[in-house]
Amino acid sequence: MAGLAGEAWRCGVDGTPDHEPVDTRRFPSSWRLTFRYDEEGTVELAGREEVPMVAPGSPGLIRSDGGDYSGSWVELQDQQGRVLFDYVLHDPFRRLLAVHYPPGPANQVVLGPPRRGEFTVVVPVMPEATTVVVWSSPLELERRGEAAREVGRFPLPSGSRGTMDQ
Amino acid sequence: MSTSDGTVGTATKVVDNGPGGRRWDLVLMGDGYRRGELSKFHDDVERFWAEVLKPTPPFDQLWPAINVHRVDVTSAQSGADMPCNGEGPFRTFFDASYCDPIWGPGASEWLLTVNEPLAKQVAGGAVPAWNVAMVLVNAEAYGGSGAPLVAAASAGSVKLIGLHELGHSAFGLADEYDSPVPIPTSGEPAQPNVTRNTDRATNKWRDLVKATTPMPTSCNDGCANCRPPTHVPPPDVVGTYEGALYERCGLYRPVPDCYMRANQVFCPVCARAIHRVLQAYLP
Repeated sequence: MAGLAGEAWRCGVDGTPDHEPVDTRRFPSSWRLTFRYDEEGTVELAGREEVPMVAPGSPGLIRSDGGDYSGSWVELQDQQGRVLFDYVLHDPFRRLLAVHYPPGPANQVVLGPPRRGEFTVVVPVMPEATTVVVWSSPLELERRGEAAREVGRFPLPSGSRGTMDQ
Repeated sequence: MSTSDGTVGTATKVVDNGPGGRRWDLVLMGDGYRRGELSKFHDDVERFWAEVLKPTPPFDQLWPAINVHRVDVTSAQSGADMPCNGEGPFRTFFDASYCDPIWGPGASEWLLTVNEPLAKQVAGGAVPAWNVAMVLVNAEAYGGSGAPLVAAASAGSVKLIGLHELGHSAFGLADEYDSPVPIPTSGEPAQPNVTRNTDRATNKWRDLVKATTPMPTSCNDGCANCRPPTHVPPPDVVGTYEGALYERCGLYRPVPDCYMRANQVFCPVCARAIHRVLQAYLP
């Protein structure tokens, strides 16, 4: 295989003239969203705080339109389900214990036990965004590479001023 | 072993490039520093931002986008637990531990973790608009962890660990190394710096690949599905080099080496991802 067929590939990204990244500076406040998960990978939105801060830009838009990608990310959707913003995450469920040790004999990668935990994401308060969606590949070792599926969908209020609810 | 084993002191903005919330606010906290060792913590913080972060591309160019805050957290005892070697428990504020059994029997002596919810709580209390929190652990042994929170031993390894783990925690970058035990991945990874796609027309970093660079750019021995290039490209050009994200075969990284694989500067693809995150904070 010299490469995957282009027509089968929804290429993510960066540098493509038809898909410019969101300039988060347009949005003066952000949601700091805290997601909590259990051993089964069930996700709940545990905290939502509107903070007067600019959100980080997306490291690489993945144009997440339907689960062609593996891994994890969060995205903001509008009322029609259009993706407005996404942010890729590295192992937010903390199952992969990858130890980076180039000075040593080898890197180590093992799969940890299912556990409870939480992760936090900062996303812009976009007036059109009505929903935050969490995507993730299955957490089991043998299924980690499968396409991500929606594992959580939570409504967002229209942001206006600082609020905090836990 | 708990918050009774230390105190949270003052927060100091040690790099002030603009108002909080309009810059990327990095919060550095310490664990395993006794009150009498706060000056060492201050030195470790200074060393990290001045000698590690600031001079490292692309952070050197993006430096006006970054604020750095230091939170003086003291612990009753120095160091970090290492239960796999019978060391500890030590009474430290964030419970820093190598090979903590909560991560299972596979947790190595290089995996250094802290109480993440507590660290986030302290970071948020000190700097409400914080972006990334990092705990420098007053320990000598190599170790660290990332995503969602960065922990790193403050000894000489902090450069390598800190930059790599920031790559995960703040910029969504994937590991570019393979693993002795492959972790199977069948789909296209969402992370910006690893791919299965060697097609120059659709590869996710195709705009950084020169027309003369073969795709794939290198293949590992024994990987049946990678067609080796007919000519060797110049060193370090952006392409698709086989071996990434814990697999020797079928997954590709942009250059031979990078902080996300080993110990070289961030490659142009990783640097672009970092730039995309931070450009919103440039004055």
